[in-house]
Amino acid sequence: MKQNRWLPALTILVVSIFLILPLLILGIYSFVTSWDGIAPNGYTLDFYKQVFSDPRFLPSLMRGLVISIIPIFLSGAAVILALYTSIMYNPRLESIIQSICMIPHTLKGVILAISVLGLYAGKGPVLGNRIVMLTFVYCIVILPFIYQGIRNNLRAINVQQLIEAAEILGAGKLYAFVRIIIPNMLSGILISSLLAMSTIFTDFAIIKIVAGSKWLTAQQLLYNARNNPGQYTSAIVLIMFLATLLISGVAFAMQNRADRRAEQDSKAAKE
Amino acid sequence: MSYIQFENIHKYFGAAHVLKGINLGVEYGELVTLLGPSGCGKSTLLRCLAGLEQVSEGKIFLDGKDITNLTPKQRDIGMVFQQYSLFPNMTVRQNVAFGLQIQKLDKATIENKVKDMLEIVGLSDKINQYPRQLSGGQQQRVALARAIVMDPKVLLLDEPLSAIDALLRKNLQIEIRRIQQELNITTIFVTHDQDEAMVMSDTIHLFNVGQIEQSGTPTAIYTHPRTRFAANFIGNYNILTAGEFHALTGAKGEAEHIAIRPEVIALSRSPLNTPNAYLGKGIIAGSVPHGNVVRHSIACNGVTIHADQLFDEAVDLQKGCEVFFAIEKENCLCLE
Repeated sequence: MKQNRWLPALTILVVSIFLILPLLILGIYSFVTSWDGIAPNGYTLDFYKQVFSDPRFLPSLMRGLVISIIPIFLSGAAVILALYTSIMYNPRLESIIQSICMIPHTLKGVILAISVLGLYAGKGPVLGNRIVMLTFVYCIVILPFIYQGIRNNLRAINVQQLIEAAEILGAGKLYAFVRIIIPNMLSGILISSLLAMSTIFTDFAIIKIVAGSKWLTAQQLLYNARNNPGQYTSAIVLIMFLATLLISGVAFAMQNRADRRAEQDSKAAKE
Repeated sequence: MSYIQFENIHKYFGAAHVLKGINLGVEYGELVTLLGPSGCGKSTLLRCLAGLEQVSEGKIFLDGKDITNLTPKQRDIGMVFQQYSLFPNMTVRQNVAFGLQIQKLDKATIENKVKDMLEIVGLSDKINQYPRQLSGGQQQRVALARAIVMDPKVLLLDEPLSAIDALLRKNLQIEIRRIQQELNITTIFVTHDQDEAMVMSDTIHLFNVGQIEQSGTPTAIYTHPRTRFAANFIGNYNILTAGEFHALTGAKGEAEHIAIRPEVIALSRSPLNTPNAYLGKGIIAGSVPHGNVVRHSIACNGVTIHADQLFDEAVDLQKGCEVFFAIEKENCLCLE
């Protein structure tokens, strides 16, 4: 039967246009002086100059990065240790770990933030500290991404047998885990981390509820600039989008590189 | 006491009694095979020796020392796993050097030992490659090198060839045997493949549901299986009940079951006159090629037996033709 090759291509094209068009218009809008008719009246870089000349902008971007990295380390360490314990000592624990790590999927971030705030606000200088609270809320929010990425990576290697092989060669369990298992999980850890970072980096609601104005990120700056001209806020959105795209792009490029390398190696081995 | 001595080993996994009082000795420099079907306990016994499983009861001695409660790293044992278990993030050199680095040997000694060992297994040119860049057979040879570079008191091979294709497997069987004999390493090999056990072993211990069914040299086990299980597992024996044996030969069976190897049945188109043998006549019910022999199914008085013939002798025996057979009495084995 002759297949119609145009239909799938056309579908992909329509969907792509549907998805890209708002971003494209936003991008164009951030460069226009004004837009009254069908076409823009003129183009300018003034709004980007204004964004970058705002002394709060770059620090707020950096704050976004910092508040992303700390929860990733904490969540990552917790998941790795929990999975290590379950794989090595009690595999039945894994279903419990999985359930716990998946709970945040069912909880909206706003509900989580309000609950944490209600529970810990005013509870001493450490737990009651807004930045500490924010860090731990993010730890919970990103748990499903971190868990899934690391778990998938661990499934691809026979952890138990690799550790047994190392033990027979004279290594301790922990030494074997650090020298053999963790290096084999790096790509999974990296991808999970970058996905989690993208999630935190673009968050506005949780940080607004938990930290208020104590930790100004680019998302909050955007909210505060809502009365400025639309081109100004469009420029901020586009810069943040590009920063997130860069982070995700790095993750996918690394993954593709690793996949290609593994494919080439296995092809060479077969030959 | 043997070099390796298992004394009354029991192992339970929950309610499952996996090893039921194993008593077994392995002499220095011997290659011993633990042979048996899946789930019979052979790998569990190996893992108990390696220290990867704790025995529930009993003691294990290695070179006169009780190692029952020692950790794997205290036992001085090398092991090769079915799935190779090479460290994927390390090159061949790093894999082989791993144990030596833990022993904190100096760099030059490690490098020399690694190079010598890779030469023995024929992989010197792969020293800087990663496991994923190697074929299955090459990976298994690296795993072997990694185990024996440690100069272990005993080498354990847990079905190391089962994931490798048939032709390569035969070559590796010979190669492992060569290396074992060259280095004189006491080796315990676990397999469910009776041909592999025959090719490689000095001694075979045949396992069945957590117990040793029969022990002996490959020839002794093959030619004189004691039980129905052993005859079934080790070869392609015709196992006949006393009634079937009587129908076939006219003689009374001296045991409940009698085993006859297919290759000891002589066939001819004309009557045979072999002394001290059971003689009979049947019809060729079918013939199937089996490597260098043809396996004929012969129907005789309601009993069907299998007989092997070399290919060049088999030309004139076609399906449906009458055939005379002779089975020497000493080749009819009474099973327990």
